[in-house]
Amino acid sequence: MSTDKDILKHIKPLKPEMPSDDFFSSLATKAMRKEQKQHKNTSGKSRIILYYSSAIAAILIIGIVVFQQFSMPVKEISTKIPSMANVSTPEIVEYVEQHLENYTTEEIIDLASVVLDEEINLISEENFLPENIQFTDIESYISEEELELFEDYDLYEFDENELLIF
Amino acid sequence: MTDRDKNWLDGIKAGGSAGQQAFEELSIFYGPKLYSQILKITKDPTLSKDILQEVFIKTWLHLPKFEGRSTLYSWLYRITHNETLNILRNEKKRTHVSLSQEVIEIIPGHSSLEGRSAEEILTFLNAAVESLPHKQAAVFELKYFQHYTFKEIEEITGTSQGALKASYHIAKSKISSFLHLKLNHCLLESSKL
Repeated sequence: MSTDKDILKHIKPLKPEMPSDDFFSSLATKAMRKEQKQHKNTSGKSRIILYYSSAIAAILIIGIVVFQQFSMPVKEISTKIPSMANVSTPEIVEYVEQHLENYTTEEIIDLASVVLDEEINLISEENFLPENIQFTDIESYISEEELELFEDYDLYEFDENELLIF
Repeated sequence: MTDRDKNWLDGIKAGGSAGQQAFEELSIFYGPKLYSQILKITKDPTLSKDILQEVFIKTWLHLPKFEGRSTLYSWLYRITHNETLNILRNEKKRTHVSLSQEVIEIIPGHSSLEGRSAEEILTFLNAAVESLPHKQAAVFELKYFQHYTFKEIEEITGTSQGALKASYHIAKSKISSFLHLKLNHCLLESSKL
């Protein structure tokens, strides 16, 4: 009996039927033509892909911009702060000290400026005098006491804010 | 690398009509050898022609980058082998009707081969060849399947006959052991059932 070493002697490769010589001689030409065609198709396809991807990119950019416009966070106005007119100063100080961390610096500045505006409005309306004192009473008091309040001073030497302190 | 291969490569790298002429000569010379190699795996002449066409498209594309670190035939052998397996993998997904061509014939007298079909043996043989390094497989392909003499293989590959003989001897013993192991293992499995 044969051994494993000569197993190949019992397997006889058959000579395959070969295609005609024309087939082999035309192989190169066909390969070169096909490669050129594939190259053209690929470049055509890549151009189409480029157009589509540019269009998609443009749509995406427009979409993002529009989305950002509509999704801008609306500045929330805190309603937690009670009306200052009804609250005493120590209460306000205590409240601010306790809740200082809840507010940003900008929020505090904004709220402070609202209060200041209200105060200025009150002053401009000239209703800061007590009801029992008239403006004429003050004028007569000044003349009686011979006070020359502003003669020695140039008003323009004062800062505008200093003049507002009463 | 042989002078013939070098001239073809130089011509192809130069481009133009000289390049086309060189590629045509190369196709006529290597085409039949690669066709046999493909047919051994596919057993389908029509599919083998299509695969060979694809192989030459790939060859035309990549030849300018060929650095000559192996022989041209060994390089072509590797491309052909990979391309054949890739295409076959895709072909299996389709319903493919083919006319199978006999590639080997079993000569009675060996216990391991008894009761085995030629197709079954060829599957093992292909697997055995696939397990070899590419250069050894290429030599085995030319000598065993395509019946070239060592002198002719020397002319094809540019490798000395001594080196070719050594390479073929090693390939043959590896394949024999592989076949023996596989066939006996199958025999053992079937006896268990």
